[in-house]
Amino acid sequence: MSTLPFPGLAELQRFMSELIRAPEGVAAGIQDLISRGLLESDDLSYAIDASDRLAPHARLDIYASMYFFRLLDCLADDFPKTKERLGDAHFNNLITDYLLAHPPSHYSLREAGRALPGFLAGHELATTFPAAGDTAQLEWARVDVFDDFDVSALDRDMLLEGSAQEPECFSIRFIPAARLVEVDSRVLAQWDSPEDAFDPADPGEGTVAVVVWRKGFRVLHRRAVEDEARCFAALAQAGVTLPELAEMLLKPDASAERTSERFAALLELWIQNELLTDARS
Amino acid sequence: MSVQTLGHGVGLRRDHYDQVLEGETSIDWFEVISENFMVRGGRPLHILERVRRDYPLVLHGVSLSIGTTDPLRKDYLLELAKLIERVEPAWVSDHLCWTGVGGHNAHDLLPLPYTEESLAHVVDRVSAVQDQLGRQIALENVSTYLTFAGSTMTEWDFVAELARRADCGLLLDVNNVYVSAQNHGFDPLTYLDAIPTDRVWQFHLAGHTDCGTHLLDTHSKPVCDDVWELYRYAVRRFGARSTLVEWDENIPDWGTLEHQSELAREHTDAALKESGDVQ
Repeated sequence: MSTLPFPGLAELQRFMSELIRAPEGVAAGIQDLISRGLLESDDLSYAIDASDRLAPHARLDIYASMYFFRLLDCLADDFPKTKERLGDAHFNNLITDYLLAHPPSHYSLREAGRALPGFLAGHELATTFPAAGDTAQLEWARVDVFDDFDVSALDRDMLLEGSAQEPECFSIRFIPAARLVEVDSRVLAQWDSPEDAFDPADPGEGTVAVVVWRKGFRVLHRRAVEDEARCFAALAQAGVTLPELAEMLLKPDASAERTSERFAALLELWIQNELLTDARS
Repeated sequence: MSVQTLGHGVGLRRDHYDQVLEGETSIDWFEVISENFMVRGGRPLHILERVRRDYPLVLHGVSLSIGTTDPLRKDYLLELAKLIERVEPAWVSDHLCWTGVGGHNAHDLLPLPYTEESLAHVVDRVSAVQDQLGRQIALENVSTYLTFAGSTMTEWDFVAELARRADCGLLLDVNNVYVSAQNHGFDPLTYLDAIPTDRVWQFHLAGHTDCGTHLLDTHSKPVCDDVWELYRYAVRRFGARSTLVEWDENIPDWGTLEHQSELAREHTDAALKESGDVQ
């Protein structure tokens, strides 16, 4: 029976938090704390009551399991295609490693997966599952726009009216619920045809830009069209006037007519997609 | 604060949005998880506002972490205040627990030792939160799977004293009382008898899972007979209070959940008759 004094609240919480989040489980976590000189022995009875049914470490294990599986379930919900590609066992291992590197700190579970795409891209699983990080990146972008700010999208009439009334200062921007991500083209192909196996030997087309956005309450994505990726940052961060946008589209080797056609086509696409808003909104 | 008795409600979950928005329901009110709606826009807030138009709402948080030794999160309280302003809930509640420390959030309802140190700590923080929000809050007793060697008082004495000292309300989760009583071998009636009646704003009911060595508060099943019996005892003692059925895992179809709420209403009526306090 341990004779250690009962710890203060802060110390008790630190010790419980470490053990509940221990990647190999509470028993291994206890040994780790002992090896680091933070715990004298594996006898936790000075802090946690034992009973006939469960020892103190087994009681902590209940909390440890809830911690891991709640987050695993949440991340599986946010990254279903990533999980499908990796398989249950690899996904489980990935999340174990991820939670060690990025323990949740935000008050909302919704934020738990924010760093997962980048983490997966640098994880050893990325060698076995090329572009899995890109799949996760596309999935996270879709999660991220789902509940981003609501603004009114510009329709054709509003655009014409605004540009006619204030041709030099009327500026447009993308709605907040829009992202541009760059992913391996095979990720996009497999998203559209999930029955096709991901062929690591097929190099695909390399990296492609993908626009992810919310139209009403529907989250959509599509491959970016010519010039769109180039304009995206400016239109996402701040407003641009139509003359500024036209200038962005200017290419030294393109005729004015061709530039004008591309300008009109892009505006038409963005209006149909409900991607544009008045920069003042 | 005197709180209105809202009747019988259920937790609003995504699986049931369509039924709630489209159909006539027998549900009197809804409770939502606050953090799920601390978002910038999109469908969640749209749904919340639609539901709020037709029903009273209660905001129930899971990340206030009132018992942590970390500082109170100002960003969290600001977002909560914005949500309160947006939906004007009947009241706001969270859990008597801590969810993490050192900047981490385990998203788990972790137990506190029942000591004078913990009590003073939580009382101070509840007061600070109530000051910041400009309103009283209610705290819910959580299911626990361990007890601390250093606790110097019972959970029910801790809860009762907290409510008095912090001048806050209580969300009495009857299933949690039952689960903890089974896990730690105390009499759940002793617990209920110790809680001051005027502090209880709301009851929670839910199903749990028997794991052999312990009961787990899974919210994955119908309310069991023992918990219905305990609920009737609670109604006889505290009178009719706003009662909510929670179901968060293996979420059933809307009809099944609505039926659980109807059962709660029947048990309430029966208990009130038993106590001669028919309303």
